[in-house]
Amino acid sequence: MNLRPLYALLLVSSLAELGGCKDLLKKKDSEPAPSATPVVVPPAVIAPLPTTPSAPVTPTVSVDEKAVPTPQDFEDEAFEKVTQANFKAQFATLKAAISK
Amino acid sequence: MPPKATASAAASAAPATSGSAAPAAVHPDTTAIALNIEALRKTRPERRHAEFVDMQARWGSLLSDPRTADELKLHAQRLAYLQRIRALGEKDPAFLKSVDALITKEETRSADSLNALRSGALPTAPAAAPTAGASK
Repeated sequence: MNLRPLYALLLVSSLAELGGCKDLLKKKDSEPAPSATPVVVPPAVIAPLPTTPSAPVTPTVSVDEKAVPTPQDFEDEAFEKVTQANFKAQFATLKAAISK
Repeated sequence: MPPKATASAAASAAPATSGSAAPAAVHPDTTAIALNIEALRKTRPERRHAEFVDMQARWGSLLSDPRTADELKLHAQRLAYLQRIRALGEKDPAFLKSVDALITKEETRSADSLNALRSGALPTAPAAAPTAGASK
């Protein structure tokens, strides 16, 4: 029996398979290893902080000192109206008024 | 008679809380000379100015609000009367304690009233002038 054609066929198919394996190897080589190429991280863009505005300055409203009544304005009146004789009665009256 | 509250002042005492106003004690200088009217008169400008500075720090521009005029006057009158009463009753510790309590109560009432005005809790209403001190 002549096996030459069969050997030839086997040889050709083996070569073809080897060729395929070579292609595979080539593909693997062409892919870069993940760790090989450094990952380029774009620099973070840090926006400048907004300049904090100073606390709003409330306009100073000028208050006329003489127009504001103070207890000192009524000292003479109190001195006249509240006496040693009536201070407890005055106290009771004020207490009632303030408690309302 | 002691100063009477007007309708507006009495009404304004109701709402709000005392907020920032801490009851102030009777000024020590006033206490020391409370029975001496000449001494009171002599030191009045300085004491008045100090009082005004305190009030301005506490109430600011509210002091120039016309709605507060009646309340400020009523409170000032009442404090003057209470300080006079305190001076006269100084020898009675129990009485003094009750006067101090009433001063604190008046401070709180007035602060509540002014805070109500400041926060807009009360409507703007022109009020009648308080009936000043008295008839006794």
